Order: sequence, then structure tokens, then C-alpha cells
Amino acid sequence: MSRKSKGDIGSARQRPQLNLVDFSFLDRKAELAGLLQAKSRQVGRSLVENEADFWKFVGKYEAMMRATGQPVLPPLLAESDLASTQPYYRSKHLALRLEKDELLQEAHAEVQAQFRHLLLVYLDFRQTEKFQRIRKLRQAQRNLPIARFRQDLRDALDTSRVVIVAGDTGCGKSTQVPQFLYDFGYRSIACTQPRRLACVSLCKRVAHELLDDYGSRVAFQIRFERSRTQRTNILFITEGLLLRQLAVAANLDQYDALILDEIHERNLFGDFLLGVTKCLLRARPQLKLILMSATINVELFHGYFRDEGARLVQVPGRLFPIKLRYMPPPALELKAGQATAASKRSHSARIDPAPFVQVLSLIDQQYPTSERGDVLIFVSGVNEIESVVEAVQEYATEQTHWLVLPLHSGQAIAEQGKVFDYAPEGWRKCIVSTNIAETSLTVDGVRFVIDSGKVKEMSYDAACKGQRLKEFWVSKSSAEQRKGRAGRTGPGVCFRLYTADQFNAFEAYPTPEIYRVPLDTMLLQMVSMGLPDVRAFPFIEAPETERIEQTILALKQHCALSVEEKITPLGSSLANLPVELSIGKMLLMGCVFPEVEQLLTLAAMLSVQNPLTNRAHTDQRCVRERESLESDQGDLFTLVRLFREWVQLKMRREGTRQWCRRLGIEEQRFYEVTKLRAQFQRILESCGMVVASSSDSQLTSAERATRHGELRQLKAMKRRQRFEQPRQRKLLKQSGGRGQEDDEERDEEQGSDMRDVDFRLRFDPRQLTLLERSARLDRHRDVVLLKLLLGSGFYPQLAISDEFNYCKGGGQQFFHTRLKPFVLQHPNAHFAKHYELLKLTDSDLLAKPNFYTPKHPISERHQLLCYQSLLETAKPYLINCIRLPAAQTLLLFSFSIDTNAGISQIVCDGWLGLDLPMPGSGMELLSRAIELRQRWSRLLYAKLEDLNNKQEASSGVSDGSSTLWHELLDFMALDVAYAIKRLLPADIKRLYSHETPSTRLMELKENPFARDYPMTVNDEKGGLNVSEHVVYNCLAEQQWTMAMDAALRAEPWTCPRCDFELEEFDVLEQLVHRSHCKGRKAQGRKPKSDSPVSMPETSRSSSSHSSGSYYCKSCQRELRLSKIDILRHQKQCRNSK
Amino acid sequence: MEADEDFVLDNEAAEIQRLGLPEEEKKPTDPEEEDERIARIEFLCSGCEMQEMVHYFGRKPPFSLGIKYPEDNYVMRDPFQPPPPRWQTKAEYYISLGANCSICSKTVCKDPGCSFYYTATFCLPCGQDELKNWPVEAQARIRKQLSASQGNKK
Repeated sequence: MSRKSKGDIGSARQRPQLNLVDFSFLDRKAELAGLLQAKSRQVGRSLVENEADFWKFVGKYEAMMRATGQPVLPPLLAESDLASTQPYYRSKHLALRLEKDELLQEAHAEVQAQFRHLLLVYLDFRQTEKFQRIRKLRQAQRNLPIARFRQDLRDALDTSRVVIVAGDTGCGKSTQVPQFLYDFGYRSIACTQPRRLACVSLCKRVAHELLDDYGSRVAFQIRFERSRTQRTNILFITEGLLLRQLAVAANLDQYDALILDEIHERNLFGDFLLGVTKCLLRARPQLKLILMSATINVELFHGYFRDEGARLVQVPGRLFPIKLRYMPPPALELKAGQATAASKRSHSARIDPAPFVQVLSLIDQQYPTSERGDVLIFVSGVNEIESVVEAVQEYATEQTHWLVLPLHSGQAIAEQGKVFDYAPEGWRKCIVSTNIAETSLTVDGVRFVIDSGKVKEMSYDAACKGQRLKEFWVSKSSAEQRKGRAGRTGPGVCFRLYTADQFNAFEAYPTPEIYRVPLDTMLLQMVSMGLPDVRAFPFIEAPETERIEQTILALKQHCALSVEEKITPLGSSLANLPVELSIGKMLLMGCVFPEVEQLLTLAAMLSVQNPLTNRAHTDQRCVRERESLESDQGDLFTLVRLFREWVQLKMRREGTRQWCRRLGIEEQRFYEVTKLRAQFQRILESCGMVVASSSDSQLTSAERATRHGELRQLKAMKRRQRFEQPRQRKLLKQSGGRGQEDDEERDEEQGSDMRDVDFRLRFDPRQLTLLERSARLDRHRDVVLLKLLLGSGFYPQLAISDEFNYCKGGGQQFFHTRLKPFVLQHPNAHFAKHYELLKLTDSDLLAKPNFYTPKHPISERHQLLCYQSLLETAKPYLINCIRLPAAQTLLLFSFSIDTNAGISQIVCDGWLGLDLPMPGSGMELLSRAIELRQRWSRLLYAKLEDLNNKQEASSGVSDGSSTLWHELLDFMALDVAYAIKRLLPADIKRLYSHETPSTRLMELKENPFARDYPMTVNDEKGGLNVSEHVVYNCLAEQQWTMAMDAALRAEPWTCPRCDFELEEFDVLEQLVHRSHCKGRKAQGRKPKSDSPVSMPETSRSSSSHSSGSYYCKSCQRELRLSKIDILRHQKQCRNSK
Repeated sequence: MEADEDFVLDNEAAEIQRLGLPEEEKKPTDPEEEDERIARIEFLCSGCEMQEMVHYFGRKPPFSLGIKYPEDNYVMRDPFQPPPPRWQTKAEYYISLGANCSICSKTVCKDPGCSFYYTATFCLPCGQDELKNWPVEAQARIRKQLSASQGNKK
């Protein structure tokens, strides 16, 4: 049929026949290959997708013909012959013809013609294959339990706006319901998923079923990644992102159907979405809402949407029978003995992997490897995964048919994807997973489930504002879900490593997340979405009222909510930032300063999971490699240094993956930092908080040309990868149980590090330089400012060293937070290893004045820790600490500051007391702190106001900000001697005088601390409110403060800056004078950059000079001293007189 | 929920729609109606009710390379291969799902349970009527299919 002209036929019949006994096309491959080519402008365009596959087919075909006794190839027929039914030729079954006009070469000889015919047979065979592939796909869909409920769903949607689809694992609801909706005519369907990975895998699956693997009708949108285009009809999106969209486009008008999947998981965002969509239904009468859940507690959801007339569609699951075997680890006493012995050695109660390996060995004994079936192990956390993986790998060195794959949410997506790959024939995958594989993520082919019965859950302790990560027994419903994973593809076995009695004692359902996490971010979002009263939010199960109240109070303290619980400009900006409140706050606080580059990097670093892996701390090689980069400012600063090092490698175009592995860094986190940082920048720029950077224009033309070439190359790589991506499941490599590492190495050989390609696409050399600079923390003043900003965000998360730390070793360095005493540094933290950094050295201790009798040490070097979070695992640990000068930090950030009349005593937030027995030092510190705070918040509010009025930030603001910056640095570097102590309940009882202020105070014409703040009497504590945060003269005098007063009153006082003199030392008079002192005003106007204090590190030892020269009258010398030192000097002089 | 995922969820609230990645939003260069890449022809098998949208009905799909069909076929672009650049073709970028029965003109898919091809497409019922006119080899083949499809129905 390759030859159709009549003339050819006659000659063809005379041609010698081909006999496959003594002939093979394979012998003439080279000569025949040209016949496979089509006419085309492109060289070498073949008619077959895969030539190797074609030649394989030729071989098989020939063999088949020989085997069936038909070695003589039948003659080729003309088109007209092919149409007549008689006589019989096999070729008459071929429903395909070659298009001669499109072929490159003509087939003249019989060999060539027969070869062409064979090509046609092959193409026809491939058609059948592809057709069957589609048909099988459809059959599989039709066989899903949900398929029978398609019409029910349609009816339900016709009659109601809310439909609940309750179906067990494996009923196909997650993949099919979005497609049903598409078939019903909905064209903009959003389907939420709790996890990113589920979004991606569902998107791929549904796209495949819609035969749209290479299109974008189905898309996903997760953080940092989206495949959505204008053609997208079905979008899989994470819950958090949909909530974000709600915050921006209040009614989600872009969607006509909304599917909330996995609502039974009851995570925070899921619950939040349920409430929000309940409200949304009123605003959007056209919207259809479909809730999907496993058959867990369905009545709860049905009842919740009863008023909306929710219809329930219940779909039975499709599970094969699962044999249940309870296999508690034997003899608990014996085990307990081993466990303690082991834990003594390793200092941590690690999971014992032996029972898991025993089950594997049981499987090996009872089920031949010829029977396929993989193993899924459920453990509680990443550490447990590592232990089990390690043990199984060891086991796999003997039983070499095991492929071990860890699975948890901390992995990169590509890494997680490996669990879907096939194990080769005769091998078994052993997937060791957290509860991530319990519901949403479905791995097919699992026949055996080994359930530890444990889950790690974060709980929130409102009492100490800390989180607790603890291992619990799972709930009954979770245990059943886990079991169900064994029966998806065939009958299975579930091994439970606990007893039936234990199972019966499990809780029915897991605790909803809303009871286990802080509510601040969620409540703030609610208010910013316009909810007038969060207490009235229709929670499906409301958290305790007390916790809501506490959270509202905290939001007010952070000035995110006004006293009337309305959103403040700060609050709405915070709600806009997709980060924890503390990080959002530091970003905004930092925006008033001229440079935010470093802050952005730091904040991004704080927002990702810790880039250091466990190995980073256990493997001594990693520890050594990192040593030189450790910062004595704490782990956060070390991480930024590592990040900078990484960016520098990128700048030199060196490979970073190896380097990361050597140092124990999870590189994915650094990529996340770069993305997150860019996102912060975008958000802050878009709302006018920072000035947009214009980096592109600054490339030279040569650079642009190079960049252009590079971009083309990178884009080509990306396209290639995109089209390779919807690959079918790969066959896992057989490598002695170590599937994962090997795969990574293979990727590396190919040099196809797509994350690197993405990174290079986003960063041109110029931007890389900026990024590198943003991670540079060499200048001491940058470090100080950043620490200050960190502190502003973390506050009130402060911890103070235990007073006996000075005489204890590393393991016993305790710290106290306001709400929780005796917490520790995490053992891996820099401050745990170098705890001396937090201690006062002997040289730091200063002599006490005679009147100061308390035992607390006096020093200028007291430090406090500011921490990001308090996490209780084995012990309560402070996470991500920075150290800050104590007094300055407290005075800048405390919500409430109380002092006595002489300002020799200051109490911050009712738990930390400062004693300042050096005359005048308290006044100096406090007055300056009040002034700085006012200026800072004024600048911030000016920015936020501008932003609300949609104006450009005025340049005047940034001028003010740079002097503020310098003055803050001066302030932080002030050398003030004081003692710091934690107040005990007994102290607090006697703390306040509760006296109305003296007439002298009441008669003050003007607030000496803040002129424009109206002073009022504080009825509760006594004294006067002199600023938003400060109450003056409310602390009861102590013995030593009275003694100090008495000692000072005997002396006259001269203002160190002007010639003002007082006959006796009187703090109030001094205060009044201070606000009018001409010398100070002159000082204040001086540009601070002249001041030598701007480099505090260098000037610290020699004490800081912020005033010019000083002439001491009593010793008649010209001195260069700071204010405080002048005071000190005066006193010494007097004493020596 | 486990520890490290807590971070993830917090941060999940990340991407703001309006700040997204605009460069990925490609406007269709043509009005959608003219986009030949969209399947608009409905194929419905009268035998098994297999239902798909296909791109082409006829003998020579514009997206095929080097082949044609001897009768009108329902053909879709191969969804399992990356698409070629627009207006271009590539190897085996076509899948025929079925054709109309040469006797009764009913649409039938390529599955052996629905159709039989011998010199032309026959739906199985028509094939059963027609087979007596065929050589024995062809008869044997269709009988095999008929009995298999009846076996399936039982």
C-alpha cells in the first residue's frame, strides 16, 4: 500500500518474495532507517516516536512470523485490492495508510516496500496501544465508587448550594468531583487542599484524566509556585492561599464552584475556611460549595450547614479486606530497661526501630517477593523516620530487595515524589512516613501497613505562650485511616505495634488544630477581612473564649488592634504579610529606616524551617566545616553568614548542592529564603513601605547581552524539564536500599538542578550582588540595629539568665521567661555551646556604691535573650535567641515601665526590675528611651498613614529615620551600670506605692519626659502616667533608694551640659531642667554621624563619648567623657575631696 | 500535624493573588474559537458509551505526520506526548478513537468489544450479519471477538 500506482502492482507480483527464515530487516537497519523519515524542513524527522522501540517491534514481529510458520511475507496489495473482502489477507485488517506524499523516500524494492508495510503494522499497533490507554483510564474512573454517585451529586447541586461528599479513602472523590463539576458546566472551580504536595499531585492526576497533561486546564497554586493560566478551569490551591485571596478579593468572584477537600482534618485554615464560606454563601448567591470529607464525624459538618440546606452524598469506600494484626513490642519491662540504657548513651529518647525491622523480616518470611506489595510505615516525626530508615537500610544490606524511602512534609516536592515511583520486579518499597500519608497523600501499591500508633502533635500552652511538641497515641479514626492504606490496591495486612486494648482506649477523633495553635494570625486576619466581632465568628467548634480574649489583648498590646478592637493601620499591614506576627512586626518597624535589605533577608531566614538538618549537628564533619562561620551573635546570624557564603558560590557559578550537603544544610530552605525575601520586598514595595529597587536598568549593555543569552539557555532547560515532568512513574533504581541518595547523585550528574535553574532565572548578576550584600553583617552597627528590630518583633518574648548561672556548667544554664521559669537553650544552639557569651565576666562587674545593699551584681554588660519561640519537646527550649543589652531593650520595648521618684529603680512589665544606683543614669536612660520610642512610632505611623492615604512616602520621613537610626545606636551603646533582677510574687506585692503624687508633681506645668503627652494620675499603681508606657513615681522606695537619695541630697548639682546649678541634688528639678537645657538642645541638633559613638564595638572598652569635652571644676581638668562618665567622675571627685 | 509542618502552614498563607507571577499568564494569541488545539467534536461510542472530545473527524488529520485513514475517523491529538510547536506536526501525534460502521453508520470505538475492521469498520452486530461473506480467516477472527465480548457482558 505504500505504492498505489497501478503500474507498480504488476511488477510487485514478479518480485522475489521475502522469506524471514533467511532474511531479517534488522540486518539492514542502516539502509532502511531512511524509510522512516518524513519530508520535513527539520532534518531527521521520524514517523515513529521512538525508533528503538520500533526496531524492537520489528525483531518481535519477525520472530512471531517465524514461530507461527509464516516466514514468507505475503505480497503487498494495492488500495483497490484492500477494499475487496476476498481473498483473505491480514493486511486487510489495517485501518491505517501511509501518506506517500509526506514521506522522504520512495520505496522501490520489495524489501523497502515490505519494510514500509511493517512500519504501518507498527503504527497501527501503537494506535491500538494508545487507544487502550485512554480506554483503561476511563474504565478505572468508571470503576471508582464515586462514579455511581455522579447523578446524585448533580441532583444535589441542582437543589442545594452546599453539598457534602463524605467518602472513605480511595473512593475517588478528590480526583473525580472536580471533573464532574467540569462536566456539569462549571468553568472556574477551586479545590482547596491542606497540603502543597496534594495540590501538585492531584493537579497532575486530574490533568492526566482530562487528557490534558500538557495543557493548563487543570492547575495548582501553592506558595511560590503556580501553574495557573487564563485557560485554567480547575485549580487546586492550598487553604492558606485561598484565604489570602479572600482577604484581597473579598467574595472570590472568580470562582463559580468551591470545593473544600479534607475538611475532616480540622486544621486551622480548614476550620477558618468553613466559617468564612458559610458567610460567603450569603454574599454570593450563585456560588456552589462542595465539602469533601472522609467518613469521619460527618454529622458535625452536616449540622453546621443545616441552615443552608446542605445535602449529603455518602460514598462507600472501596477497600479490599485488610487483615489486622496487633503486634505490641514484646515484654515492656525488658524493653524499658534497654530504652533507658540507650537513652543514657544518646541523651535523647530515640525510637527503637527493632519492631519495625522485625515486621519486615516477618513479611519476608511469609510473603514471597514474587507477590508485589509495598510497605508503608507510620511513625510520629522526622527523627523517628531517620532512625527507622537507618535501621531498614541496614536490614536491606542482607535482604537486598528493599528500597527505603522517607516521606514527610519537610522534603522538597521532587523528593517526596519519589514515593510514587515503581519498585522493580521482585523488590519492595518501604516508605517511612509521618501522618502525611494518612489521608490526602495516597501511595498506590501498598499492601502492608506498619503503624506505630504514634503521632507528634503541636499543642499550644496559652499559660506560657509556648508550643509543645509531644508524642501522643493517635485517635481511633487516624488508626483506621492508616490501616485503610493497606487495602487500596488489593487485600492487605496492617500491623499495629500496640495492643487491641490500647486501641480501644484511643480518642475517637484527633483534636482539632484550632485548640492546639496560637490564634493571633487567624484572628487578625478575621478582623482585617472586616469581621466586626471575632467572638461572633461562626466557628464550627469555637476555641475557648478565654483564649480568644487573651489573643485580642495581645493584638492590642502589639497595636494591631485599637482599644475598640478595630484594625489599626499597623494591624492591616501585618495582616497583609504572610508571616508570623512577630516577623511582620519587625519588618514594619524596620521600614522606617533607610535600609531594609538585611532585615528582609533576616526575616525570610526566620520564616523558613531551620536550614540545618539533624546531620548538621550529629556529623562532626559538618560541625567542623561550619565552625569558621559561626557567629557569636547566635544561630540566626550564623545562618545568614552561611546564606551569604551560599550566594557567593552562586555568584561564582559554583555548584552549591555539594557544599550544602557537606555543611549539613537543606538547600531547599535557602531557595525558599530567596523567594520569601523577594515576596516580602514585593509586598512592602506594593504598599509603599519601602522604595522600589530598580536593579534591571543598572546592568551594562554587555552584562545585559550575557544575561540575555543566559536567560535563553535557562528557559530552554526549563521548558525541557516542564515537558519531561508529567512523566509516568519512574522505576526506582536498585541500589541496596538507598534509593534516595543515589537518585540525587544521578540528578547531579545530569547537572539538571532545576532549583538552581529557577534561581538563576530570577537573579541576574546585579540582583545577586544585592542579595549578597543583604546578607552581609560585618558592620557592628548593622548588627545592633538588626538585633534591635528582631527584639521589637519578638518582644515580649524575653528571657533572663538564672542568677546562679555564673557558677554552673553548660547543661545547667537556665533562663526564665515572664510566664515560664527554668527554660533552656536548645542543645544545638550556639548559646548552649558558648554559654559564656551570656555571662558577666569578672571584669564586667563594677564596684557597688556604699548605699547599694542588695546582692545583685552591678554591671554595664547585662544581657537579655529575645527568642522567637518557646518549644517544649523533651524539655522547654528557647528557639532562635539573640542577645541584647538588657536595660536599653527593656526601656525601648516594654509595654509598661514603672519608676520611683529618683528613677533609680525601674520595673518593666511587672517582672524585671532594674536598679540604677549611679546618679542620673536612670533619668538619662529613661528620658532618652521615651523620646526614641515616640519618634520611632511617629515615623512608623506617618508611613502607615501615608500608605492609607495612598501617598508616596515623603522624603522628610527618611531624613528623620537616619538620625533616629544613629540615635538608637547611641542609645544601645550607652554604658550604664545597673543591676537586673526577676521580681518574685512577693516583690510585686510591695512594689507600688499606690500613693497619689505629691503636690510638687501635680503642680508640674509640663511633662518633663514627653512634652506633648498629657500627664494623668495613675489610680492603680500611684504616680503619674508620663507617656504611653511609663508611670513615674509609682514604685515604693526601697531602703537603698532612700539611702541613695539622702547621700545625693547633701551635694549640689551642676548640669553637665550648661551652667545650670542646683543647690541640692533633686531629680525632679533636674528633670524639669533637662527638657529646657540649652546645652542639650545644642547637642541634639548636632548631626550624629560626627559622634564617635557610631562604632560602639570599638569604642566600648574606652567608654563612649557622646558629649564633647568636659571641664571638671573640682579637679580642674579638661576631660573627654560621656554624660554618664561625667556624672561618675563628679562623684569620684567629690568623694576624693 | 507535625512540628515542621507548622511553619509551612503559617507560611502557606503566602502568595497574594495580585502579587503573583504575571509572566505566566499568557493571553491566548487567537480567540479561543479558532484554536485548533481545543477538542470540539464529541465522540460517543454506540457500543460502550465511551465518550471523548476529539479534534478531528475525517481521513487526514492536519496534525498527523505521514499517515491517513482509509475512512473517516474520529482522531484526537495525542495527549500523552508534549505538543509540537503550533501549526507543526510530530511523529504519532494522533490517536483514532473510532469510526462509523460502514453498514449502519453508527459510531463505534476501536475496542474489540465494539468494532471489527476488515476492509472497513463494522460494528459488531453488523459484522455478525456480514461475516458469512468473508473468508474463513476473517470469520474466525470476528467470532473470537464476538464470543469474548459476549463473555464480558455475562
